[in-house]
Amino acid sequence: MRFLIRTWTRQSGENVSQDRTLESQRLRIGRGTDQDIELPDLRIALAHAELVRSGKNAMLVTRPGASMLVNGAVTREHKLRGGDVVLIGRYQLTILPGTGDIDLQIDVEEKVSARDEKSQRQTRLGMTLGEVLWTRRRVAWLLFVPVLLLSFALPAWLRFHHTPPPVPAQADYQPPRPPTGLAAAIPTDHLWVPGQSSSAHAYFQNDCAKCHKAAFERVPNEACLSCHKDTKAHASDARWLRLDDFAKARCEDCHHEHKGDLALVMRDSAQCTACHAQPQQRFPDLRLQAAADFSQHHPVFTPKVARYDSVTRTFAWIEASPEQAMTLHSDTNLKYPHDKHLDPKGIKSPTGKQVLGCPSCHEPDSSGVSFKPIDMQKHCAECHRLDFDPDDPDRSVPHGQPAQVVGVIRDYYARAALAGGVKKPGAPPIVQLRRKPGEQLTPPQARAALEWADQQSAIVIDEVFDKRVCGYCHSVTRTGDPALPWSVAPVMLAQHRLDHASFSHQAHRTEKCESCHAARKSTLSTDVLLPEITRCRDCHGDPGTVSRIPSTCIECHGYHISKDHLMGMASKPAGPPALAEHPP
Amino acid sequence: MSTAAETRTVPTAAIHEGFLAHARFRYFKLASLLCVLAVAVYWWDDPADGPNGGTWLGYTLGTVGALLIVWLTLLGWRKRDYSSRLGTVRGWLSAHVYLGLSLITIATLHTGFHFGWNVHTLSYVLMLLVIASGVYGTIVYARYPTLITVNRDQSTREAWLAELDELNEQSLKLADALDTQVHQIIVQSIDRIRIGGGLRAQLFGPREPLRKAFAQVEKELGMTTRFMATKLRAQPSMRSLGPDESSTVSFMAGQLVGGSHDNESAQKLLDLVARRRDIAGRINRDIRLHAQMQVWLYIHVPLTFALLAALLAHILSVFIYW
Repeated sequence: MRFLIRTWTRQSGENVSQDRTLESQRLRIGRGTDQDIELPDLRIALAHAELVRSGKNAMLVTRPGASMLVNGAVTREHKLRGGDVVLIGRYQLTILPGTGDIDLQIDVEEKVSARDEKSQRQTRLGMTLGEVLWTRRRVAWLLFVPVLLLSFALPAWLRFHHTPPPVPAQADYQPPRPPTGLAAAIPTDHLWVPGQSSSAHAYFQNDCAKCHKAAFERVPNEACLSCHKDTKAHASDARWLRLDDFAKARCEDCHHEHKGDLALVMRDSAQCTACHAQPQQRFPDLRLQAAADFSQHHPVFTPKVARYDSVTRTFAWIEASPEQAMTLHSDTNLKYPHDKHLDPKGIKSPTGKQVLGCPSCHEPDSSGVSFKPIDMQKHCAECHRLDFDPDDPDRSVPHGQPAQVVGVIRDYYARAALAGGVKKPGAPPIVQLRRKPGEQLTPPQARAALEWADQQSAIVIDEVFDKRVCGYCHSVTRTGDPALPWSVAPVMLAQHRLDHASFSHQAHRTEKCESCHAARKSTLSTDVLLPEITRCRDCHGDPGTVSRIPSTCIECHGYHISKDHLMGMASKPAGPPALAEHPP
Repeated sequence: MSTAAETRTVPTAAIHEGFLAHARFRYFKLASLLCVLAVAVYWWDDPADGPNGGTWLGYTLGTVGALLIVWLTLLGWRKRDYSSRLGTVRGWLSAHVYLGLSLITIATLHTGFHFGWNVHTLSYVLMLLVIASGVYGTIVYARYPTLITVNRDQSTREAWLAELDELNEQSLKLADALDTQVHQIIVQSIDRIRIGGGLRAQLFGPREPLRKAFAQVEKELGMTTRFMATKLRAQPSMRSLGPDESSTVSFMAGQLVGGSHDNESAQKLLDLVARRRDIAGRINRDIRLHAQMQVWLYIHVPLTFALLAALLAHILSVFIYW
């Protein structure tokens, strides 16, 4: 075989080739000086490979232990074709088909110089993190931008890039459905929710825009009032409500959202005492007593008590105070000694002695706050019977209707006198005599009988009203009117009232009634059985106390207590001017 | 790798721990005071709606925390600004470490222990990750310079690399003079030396040479040499050799015991191979120590910027939905 061996070398920056031809049956390749193609690279064996004839073609075979790369693959044996590239050590052998009498052309080229190879090898090594990792700056941006985009920019754009449709009225409002599937992965302003919504508002917690109307603005009161329409204002005087203290008050001052159910109604007394500790300092003409705390600086109870005016026959309400004992009684126009009814030995009744307790008459109402009104039929009538004639104990007068009482008694005796057979001492014979069947009284007889009936009923009416029946419990007066000779004073059963506080009897049901109400010692129905505030302080203390039940203002008091005015009313343009005398 | 180097007297760790004790622990005291103050006020304050980021204390702690984060980030700028007169970099680093740690207290109290799947907790978690990577960084900065100095043994990586090349060349020359087969083995063993590499190789050292390549070498060397090698390896001087070079050494040993070659050259070649293995090991250990000492910065710095983004989102979202 004839080979053309073209050796390329670099000389002063240019590639120079040197050709030689060789005729041999085998071509030896290696580092040794005796080789046909000498490759001076220490990593190449002295005799590295041989090119031998194989039929028409040439076969490249490495010596044992040596290896080469043919067209990029590690090979021990390869049938050569034109265009094959063989790498041995630093050298590249390119096989080209021969021309003319040349069977095969082999281009030999040193790919890199020994020195270059060394430095190349070193730079190829990854020896610092900077070579194998992105720069910190690049990674920083790669994190910064997506985090900002996903957690802020995209949610903000989705929320504000169009004006949200007006929130429909409460009745039509439908909270948006939470997204499902892939849409749920889109970051929305839900990512900004700082905490659990209160259970009352949780159903629209995905609809941030329902409350958060505009960016960088606090939740306006209107957002709350669009649902809570009937919420009362604080003060009843509209002039007060025009003051900044009320007009600029925000629902959120007291009602915090996104804190679970804990803070939906703030129980912070400091918000109340900010004004109420020294109300006159801010509002000089206010007739409100100072309340800085409950344990030390809280006004005594001043219940509303009833005063009866016998001329107009009406009740008026005045404020009483335990500090002025004279004022502390409330007119009821009933004669009702609690002590007798609560006698532990029992009280006389038509069926023998009965032991009564508070619940015998005072039944809690459905709210648990107070009690159902006392009902004569239900609570009194079993003992206090309304019969008027000892000979006929089953006949009774109706309760609460004096005119009918008079009528019933008169009718009863008129009928008895006319019917005869009345066994009453002193009654005329015509009244005492039993009538024969079909007997008719003559007019003089009838007149005599009715005359007795009139006398008798007048006696019984006086007895019923004044002594035995009505007057036993009620305050009665003689009228001088023959048609309705007695009048019964109206009764006031609601004995006393605390207008600005609510006390839940239900919440205190584990306490005995008498632990607060001195009913067993009360001899008069006018006694006010409201305990003093000191009794409350036995158990209740200020927030933060550990020796009592920590109790805040709103345990007993409300904020939204205005009689006529609603929240938000003061911000409307029309309305009475604010108080001029209010100090700035 | 050499145990002798580690027992030698080395510069104490104090040199590298200097920034921790800077100015008699001034910033440690300052950060501790900040934490104690924050905890005390948190304990004393009793907001009606429970502790949270929206109370006066919550806003205060949040502001302090956010300002601290921004200031801590500025260390990167201060480090590069050599003309700055705003204190020494060492002082900054000391303050960076201690005030950074105090953020755990400040930010945790700021949360009021309320966490959820939202940007607010994202910021908090990112902050904790940044601090955790910083703690790792502080530990390695305190320990690794000593380890690196011990490993370097007054040499440099560049000198080793040059020596390695030199050794490769010499061993090839020696092997060439000995035998073709020896030469082949040496060529292969040079190819098998791994210096550095990708992230994994730098952090945990390069992978062992492929089992396949081993098998090939073993096969070629034949049973006899392996048997000889076993005998030779029983000698104490051979025990410290690692698996990296075992095939080369086995072969060399076989040649030696067989006595088929010039004993002196073979002994010299064996020494060269052992030295080469030692140097390659030291270079890889140097690379590994450097990688382990610096890798945290590739987490710390980028996470800091992720934290800044989340912090921005946290603050803006809170005030958008005020």
